Amino acid sequence: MRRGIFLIAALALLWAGCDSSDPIDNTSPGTVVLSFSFEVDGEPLGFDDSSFSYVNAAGDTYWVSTLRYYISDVVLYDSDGDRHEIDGFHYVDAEDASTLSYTLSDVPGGEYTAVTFFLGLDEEKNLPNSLPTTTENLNMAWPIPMGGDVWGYHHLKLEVNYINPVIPAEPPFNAHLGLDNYVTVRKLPFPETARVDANTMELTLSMNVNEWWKTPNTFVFADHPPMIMGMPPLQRLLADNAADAFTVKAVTLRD
Amino acid sequence: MIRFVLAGLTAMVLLAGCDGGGSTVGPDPPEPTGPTPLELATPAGFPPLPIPADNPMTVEGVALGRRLFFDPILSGDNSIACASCHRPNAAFSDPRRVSLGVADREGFRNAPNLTNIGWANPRLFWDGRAESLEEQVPHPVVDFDEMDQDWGELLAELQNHAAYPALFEAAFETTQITQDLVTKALAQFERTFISAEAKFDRVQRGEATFTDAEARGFELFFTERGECFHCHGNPLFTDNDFHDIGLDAAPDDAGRSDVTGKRSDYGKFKSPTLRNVTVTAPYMHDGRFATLREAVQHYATGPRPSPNLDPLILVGGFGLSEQEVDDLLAFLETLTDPAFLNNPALRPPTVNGQ
Ligand code: HEC
Ligand code: HEC
Repeated sequence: MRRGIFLIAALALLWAGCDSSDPIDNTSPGTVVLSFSFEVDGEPLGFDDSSFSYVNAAGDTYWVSTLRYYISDVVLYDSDGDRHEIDGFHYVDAEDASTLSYTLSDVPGGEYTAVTFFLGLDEEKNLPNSLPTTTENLNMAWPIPMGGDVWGYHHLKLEVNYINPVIPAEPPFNAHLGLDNYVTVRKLPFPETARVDANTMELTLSMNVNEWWKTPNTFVFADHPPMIMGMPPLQRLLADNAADAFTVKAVTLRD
Repeated sequence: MIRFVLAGLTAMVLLAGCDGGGSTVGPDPPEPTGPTPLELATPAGFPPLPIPADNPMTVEGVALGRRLFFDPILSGDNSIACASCHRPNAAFSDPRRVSLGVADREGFRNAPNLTNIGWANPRLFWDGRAESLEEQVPHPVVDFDEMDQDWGELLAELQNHAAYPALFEAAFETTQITQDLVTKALAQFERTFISAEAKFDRVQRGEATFTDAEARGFELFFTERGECFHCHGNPLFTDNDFHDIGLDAAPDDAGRSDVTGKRSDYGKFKSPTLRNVTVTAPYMHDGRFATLREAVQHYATGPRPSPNLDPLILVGGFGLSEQEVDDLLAFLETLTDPAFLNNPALRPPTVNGQ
């Protein structure tokens, strides 16, 4: 990490020395890698076990057993503020290391300052049977009697158990988002501007799981049934909370 | 849709092709051209069938695997075949609660349904301890409670057999019989256990309609009222993942955690496919439920607060009414595929149709 930051600093210095008129000129396309990490208010996310428990904004103690979702339609903002959309999607299973990076090749060269994307699949992509028939995609299918004939897939499965003084035996809450309840992630500024020019730019994206349960809507698990696939307005509320769940922790440049 | 029908037909034709017209799969004279590649059609909507690069499907390989699968020569005392515990008319499961191996030794888990087992890579066994069919096959052969065989002895027996050397020659172009080749042939045969011609599939293709009870069961199965689809979804009716569904408050079989060593995997087992589930009694990893009704009733009222209970399962069940259990059972009936259960290509190779 430190080397990467140093590299960026060095590049920035070099760059400052040049006369940068149009950042997109004379640059070659490169590769952008999004790598996904997870935290709860600064603590790394552990799984499946009450020894990794966290407290949300409403004061509920909870732990996570499943966190799976799609990322799609990544947009990079260049230093002129122009959007460069990279069509595509990627499946993330927070417990499966092989899914934790998403490589975008042939990204136009230039200086970039921010990124955004959807968590989930928008209307264009979330069509029945439209994704390759991998086990992962099949397991994300949204069932037909719940709207799956129009909307193909879950955007997200975030499954937790929580401690509640009234309900015995650590009840579950299953945040399964579908239908049009994908998350429009806010524009995420890079810690510093970075240049794509025949190189690889890695963006370390962190999701703070506690953001799902606060701002604008403080979420109390026990106020809701454990399964919400049939409750679109509640899904929307969670999707709105998650707009600011991500941050770009680091930008690393490699040859 | 049409592609699906074609795929289904092709698969049937191909499978019938391995059957040698229902007569003996005898020693074929070795062909100078080598074994005949077998293109297994993937049913529409299924994931691509994972086939290892070093074990391509061939007509001769499948025929050899078929013969081995039904041959008790594989066990230490030549009394038990794979098929003794994996019976074709029971979707290759075992009607006994736990299987009996050599000398009637009792195992401790129920032999699972092998419908569409080719898609179970990389998670074979209830606890996922084998990562491919090729890796799985040697387990029962040497298991003391199952076939209790010594590989050296088995290979010598096969090598001195009247028919096998020529069958290996036809399948693998060598008469030198090895554990690797025995395993590969069995794995090839198991990859032909393809079932996608149940009433459910025909309804999906618009060729049949559900009865009212089946339609209500479908609705329960594929909504959060029943929750079934999350772990037993279409088209394989398994997510190939591990869960604790609350059978016991304190499970005595560690299940998945034997493999991963993770406390959070204790008591988790692989979701079995529900295709052909009507013929695979008894149910669950330990065969605790004698009937399908009891197995479904578990989800209605049964789940206990076990340490790793899946968040998708509610303690005390979903409160399904008796009518709802009946409807789920009616729907599960539609996953039975007679064409698969009666496929002659998946029965022992016979002499004169015997
Ligand atoms: C004595 C009974 C017995 C015999 C003989 C036997 N099996 Fe099994 N088989 C079982 C049991 C019991 C299991 C489940 C064990 C477990 O998961 O721990 C099993 C599991 C399997 C599985 C994994 C299924 C899944 O869903 O992951 C396959 C494949 C399989 N057997 C194939 C074979 C083959 C091939 C042979 C012959 C070489 C064979 N078995 C012989 C009892 C038997
Ligand atoms: C959380 C995942 C999950 C859900 C939800 C779920 N199952 Fe299961 N199912 C499993 C697992 C895991 C097993 C094996 C459990 C064991 O043996 O310990 C199983 C076993 C079964 C069996 C026994 C099959 C056999 O061959 O032994 C049946 C029948 C079954 N489930 C039906 C259903 C029905 C019907 C529903 C909906 C009411 C349902 N399941 C919901 C995971 C699930």
